[in-house]
Amino acid sequence: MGFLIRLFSRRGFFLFFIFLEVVAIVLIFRKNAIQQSFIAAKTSAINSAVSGYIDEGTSYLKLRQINQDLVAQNKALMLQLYGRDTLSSPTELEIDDTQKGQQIYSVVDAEVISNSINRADNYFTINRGKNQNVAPEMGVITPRGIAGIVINTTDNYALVQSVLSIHNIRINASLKKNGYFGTLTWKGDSPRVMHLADIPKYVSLNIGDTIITDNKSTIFPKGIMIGRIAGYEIDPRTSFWDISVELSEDMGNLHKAYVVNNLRKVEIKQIQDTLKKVENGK
Amino acid sequence: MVSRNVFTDIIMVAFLIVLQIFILNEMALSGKYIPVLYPVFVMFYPFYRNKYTYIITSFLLGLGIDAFMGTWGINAFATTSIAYFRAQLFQSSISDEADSFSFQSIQWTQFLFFIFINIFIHQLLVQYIEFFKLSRVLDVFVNIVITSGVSFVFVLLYALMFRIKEKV
Repeated sequence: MGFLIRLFSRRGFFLFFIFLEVVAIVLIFRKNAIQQSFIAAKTSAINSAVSGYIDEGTSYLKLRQINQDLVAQNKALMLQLYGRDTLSSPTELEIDDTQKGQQIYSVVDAEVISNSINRADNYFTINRGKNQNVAPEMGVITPRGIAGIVINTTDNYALVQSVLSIHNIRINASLKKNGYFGTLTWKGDSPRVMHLADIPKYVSLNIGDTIITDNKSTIFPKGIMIGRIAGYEIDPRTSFWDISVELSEDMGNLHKAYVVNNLRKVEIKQIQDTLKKVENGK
Repeated sequence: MVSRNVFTDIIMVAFLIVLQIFILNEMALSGKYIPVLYPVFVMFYPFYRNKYTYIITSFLLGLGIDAFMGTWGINAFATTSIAYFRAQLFQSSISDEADSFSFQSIQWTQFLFFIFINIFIHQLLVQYIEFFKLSRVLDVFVNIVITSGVSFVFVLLYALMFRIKEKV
């Protein structure tokens, strides 16, 4: 208290001067638009700086919670990524057959989940089965060619005999340009090459001619691309052409496949079975 | 001349405010350089009078000018500043130590310098606070110098008219 009295008695005039100046400054910043906006800008800048520091501090305190949230989110994403058995639901193609022609083939899309090409008889597995109306003796084609024939199914999977099989695959194939047909087999030499036999040697051939599926099969629809002629020579034993066909589909790189089902298979089988009865009856 | 007291001071303040606001402010040279006369009260206030009365009347003078010009506090701040620092400005205006604070004891050149430095500092404070923008520093400085020059003429006329140099 004594200090204050001494201060005022000695420095009274100076303090009074300071007081008057402070009053003037307060008036300046309270009443004038320019200075007021200056003060407002400065105070808001200080405000935001201080609240920014506070936010930063509190965000550190929240890190544990954020970490837990991220772990939970990661877990959910990983379940989505690895936990599902199929990437897409199966779709069946339906053709509107009320207008013209009846539907002969149904198609189910599938994904190849295991594959081999290095054995004498190769197989691969697709992720469609009985539940998706896949049954044995259905054809499997790919966007670029034929792939195989279904030989066994479970509820959700099917085992497919690959076209690269020495013993079990006989495919009716024909020359696209003139319709001559023969039998396509694999001799086990190269996974890209199959052999077309039974084409008479008077048929003229060119390297690069297209080989397609024939309509004399109940497994594959007519006109599916198989491959192109890579070379030909006369088989001395049969005096038919032995044609090397380079497959258009790379069997070592199968991903997407379609199962085709001939809806008239049963009917065709019935009529063919009558021949057996006749033969047996002889 | 009537001896001065607080009431005459206040009447003089009122008179200077009226003079400044209603006459001199209308006389703006080339539209923007207003002659500022009212600091004569602060400059030529007798040295021997009560300094509290002196500084508070100076403050009220500035505040009165502000009230009419709508520049609250700016003129009050500048006027109070030159009132407080007048003694120092007076000492710095004279070359050698003077015996007493009096305009009679100093030379005319010193007297003119004292007048100009007061007006200049007053204008410096007023205009820089008023414009309050660093981007216009040079622009405003030119304005301050010209206004100070114009005001100097008017203040000198006042000083000669009332024989300040001889009386105070």
